[in-house]
Amino acid sequence: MNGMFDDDGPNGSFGYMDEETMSLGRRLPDSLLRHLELKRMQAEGASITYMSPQAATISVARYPPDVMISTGAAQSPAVHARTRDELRVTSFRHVIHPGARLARIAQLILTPKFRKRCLEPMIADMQYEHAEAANAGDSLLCTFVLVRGYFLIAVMLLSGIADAVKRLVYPWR
Amino acid sequence: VGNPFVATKELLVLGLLRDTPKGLYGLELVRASDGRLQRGTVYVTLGRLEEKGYVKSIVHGKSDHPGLPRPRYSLTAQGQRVLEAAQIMGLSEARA
Repeated sequence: MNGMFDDDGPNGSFGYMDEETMSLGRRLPDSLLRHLELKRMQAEGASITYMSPQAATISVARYPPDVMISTGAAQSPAVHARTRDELRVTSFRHVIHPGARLARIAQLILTPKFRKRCLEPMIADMQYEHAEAANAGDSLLCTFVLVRGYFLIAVMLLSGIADAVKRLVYPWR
Repeated sequence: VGNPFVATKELLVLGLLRDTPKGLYGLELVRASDGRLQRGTVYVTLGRLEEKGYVKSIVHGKSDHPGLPRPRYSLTAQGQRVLEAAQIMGLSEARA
């Protein structure tokens, strides 16, 4: 197996071999497979942002906009699949954007006006800063951004509730 | 400030938005204000200004980062007039 793609992957024991390559007797390296899979998803309408040569962030049209799929040497397990579908399952991990769940919960309890004007811009800022910190590879800053973001949102929500209560109580005085 | 209709922070925001026809993001406003605007309250202030019709927000369909798109805020003609009036009245926040 001294072909052009003779690479056993990051763990030295796994590789991917589909029917075509099996018949050629060649193994494909994980990095190349990830690259090809990303290319295929791009062709299907996904927008792909490369964060580093080893990792990429992709937003796929067929998923809800708040779902991000990440792949990278650290995150994805070695590819050990026989079919394209298995490859997709084993090599990609779904990551929910920070604040996405909060935005969904807010839809149930907050007015659309308050969400559009106050909550969603704050979540968008947090996601933007988190993406910047992630691109820089600073995990400590990522955590700080999340803690600060959620704290500020909590403060804003509490002050909003206090304000609403004040407005309700004021006419009765 | 003896203006019953526009709060000090609101004037400050209008002043910061004056020189940027393309508009600014909320975070850019916070950074440009040198600590006078807080991250936690800037959107409440911007929301109030939007309600009054002094500021408009534009959200581009495609986000510049993964996740929700960030709105960009700019002055409306009415906001511009309010700012000019505040400047004539000599309010310092309007000169930010």
